[in-house]
Amino acid sequence: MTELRYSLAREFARDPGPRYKKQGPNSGEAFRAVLRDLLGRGGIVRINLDGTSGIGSSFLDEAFGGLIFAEGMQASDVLARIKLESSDDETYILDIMESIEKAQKQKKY
Amino acid sequence: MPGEKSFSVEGTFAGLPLSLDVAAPPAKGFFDLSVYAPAAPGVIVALAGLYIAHHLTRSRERAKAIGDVCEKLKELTDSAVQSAVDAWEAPPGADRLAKVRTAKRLIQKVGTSATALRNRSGRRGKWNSRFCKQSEIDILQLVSDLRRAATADPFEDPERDADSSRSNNILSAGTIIQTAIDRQYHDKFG
Repeated sequence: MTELRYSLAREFARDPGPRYKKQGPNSGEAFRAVLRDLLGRGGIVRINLDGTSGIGSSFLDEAFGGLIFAEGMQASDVLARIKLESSDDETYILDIMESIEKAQKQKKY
Repeated sequence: MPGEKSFSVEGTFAGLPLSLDVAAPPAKGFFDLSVYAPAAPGVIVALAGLYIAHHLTRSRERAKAIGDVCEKLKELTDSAVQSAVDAWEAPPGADRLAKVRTAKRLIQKVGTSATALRNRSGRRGKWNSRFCKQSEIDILQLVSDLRRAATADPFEDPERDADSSRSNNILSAGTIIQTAIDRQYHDKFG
């Protein structure tokens, strides 16, 4: 299975922004479109979260949780296809996992 | 002493000389372990004492180094919490955007330090790291909770009004982190 590597800081933005595009540049919504595109190429997508100036929880929620609540994916598919790396600050991975779980729960009920 | 000595005995052999040869003991070389055997227990005890002293010194130094990291992390948490409260209470404008960025950056620094602290405070060695996870100082989930309390919607919405209602939750998340650091440090090092 092919594996794509993507660095949030180098290839998207060093300073990730708000949740929605209308709120400002480098939004979680815009990053979700990038993720959707990367996933569309097939295989596993490995996202590196190191090197940014700081990421808000709403950005992460919209980008990763949004794959479930806005793009209609299943949490199991997202977890199987997207691998996260954050050696500097591992709390981002916890944030993303929580967003994915929450989005999946809300989808069920 | 090696050598030859003659002396007389009474009875059947009276008058006959009796010779006894006393051979010299075999010479012991430098590499003969039996030369050192009597000193071995003392050497073993001394080496054990040195090892224990070295181990205790290293443990004390490690406890102090990790204690310093904990103190810095608590100070950093204070700064991040204050910065997030300031950003929430700031009116719309360019100044608030700068405060929002500072808050996100400081919370990331808390996360980075917490990650480093967890990695540094864990037991060393493959066996220990596999079976002694409980010995780490792990506050990653609490930092994630702080980020959620501090940067949840509509934190970065440029049109939102100043809002002081979030302050208590953010301050509380910061206090929980500081308490957890103290408790886990004392659980680990006493």
